[in-house]
Amino acid sequence: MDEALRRAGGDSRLLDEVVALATAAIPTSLAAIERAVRAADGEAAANASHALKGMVANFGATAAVEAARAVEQASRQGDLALASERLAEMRARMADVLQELAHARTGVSA
Amino acid sequence: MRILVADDDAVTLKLLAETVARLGHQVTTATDGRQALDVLDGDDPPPLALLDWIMPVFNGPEICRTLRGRLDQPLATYVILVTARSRSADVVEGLKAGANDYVTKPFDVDEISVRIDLGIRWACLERKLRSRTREVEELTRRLDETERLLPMCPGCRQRRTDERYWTSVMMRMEDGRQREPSCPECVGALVLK
Repeated sequence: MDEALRRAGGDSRLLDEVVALATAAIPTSLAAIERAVRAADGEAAANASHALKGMVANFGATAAVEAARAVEQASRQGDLALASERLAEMRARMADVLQELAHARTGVSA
Repeated sequence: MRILVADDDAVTLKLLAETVARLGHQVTTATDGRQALDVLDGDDPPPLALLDWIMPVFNGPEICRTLRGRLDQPLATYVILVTARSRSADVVEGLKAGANDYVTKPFDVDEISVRIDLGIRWACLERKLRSRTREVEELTRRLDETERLLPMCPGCRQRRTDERYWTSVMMRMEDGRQREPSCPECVGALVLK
């Protein structure tokens, strides 16, 4: 979370805002990616994974970034079967991020 | 200075917009390529834009190509692509599309601040240059007009300074015909021949 705080210019109020934004956006993005993979829409799945990757990168969540990158690459190549396989790893890593964000929110409000 | 920040990721958009605001600039935001292009293609486009690469409707490079392709673009916009695409080939593609600069995500606050400052300096210089160019064009036009009125001897190509020139100008204005175009020296030399 230090990385995100630095990116927020040391502004804990701003950090709290972006933590809230990410907490709301990550589940929505995951659902959109899963829908796109199920619909075999490689471009939509790749673009949504790319956006999610960029979002969690702001929090220094390296494992989540790599998991999203794997789904993005498979989707971009049109290999939706592989993308579907890699979704599970991405979901798990995003759950870790959400947990960290929840801790950060508790920390800010405490 | 007004700066457009366009990104479809709400977190990056918020962080970038706040960074720009902290630098003392006015921020306009867009969440897709259509909104971004509408702002940049409007009557008063911002001189600087931070554009994400992958956005719905139009991506960053498509927006750059559209802007650079417009001959009637009233003011050049300095574009910084801010993207997670970090391969050399991506940088080359982005800059070839017409972006002025390229920053990779996740962005570093100090780096992007310096690059924004650089872009603003460029945008100010561009504005000054355009303004000066317009002034020079206007002065050249006025000079051309004056040159057409100034007397010149077709023989020696010297400017005539004799008093009779003004009589000649008046006569020319009255009946449209050129009178005594040569300077007194050339007329004298002709008579002597």
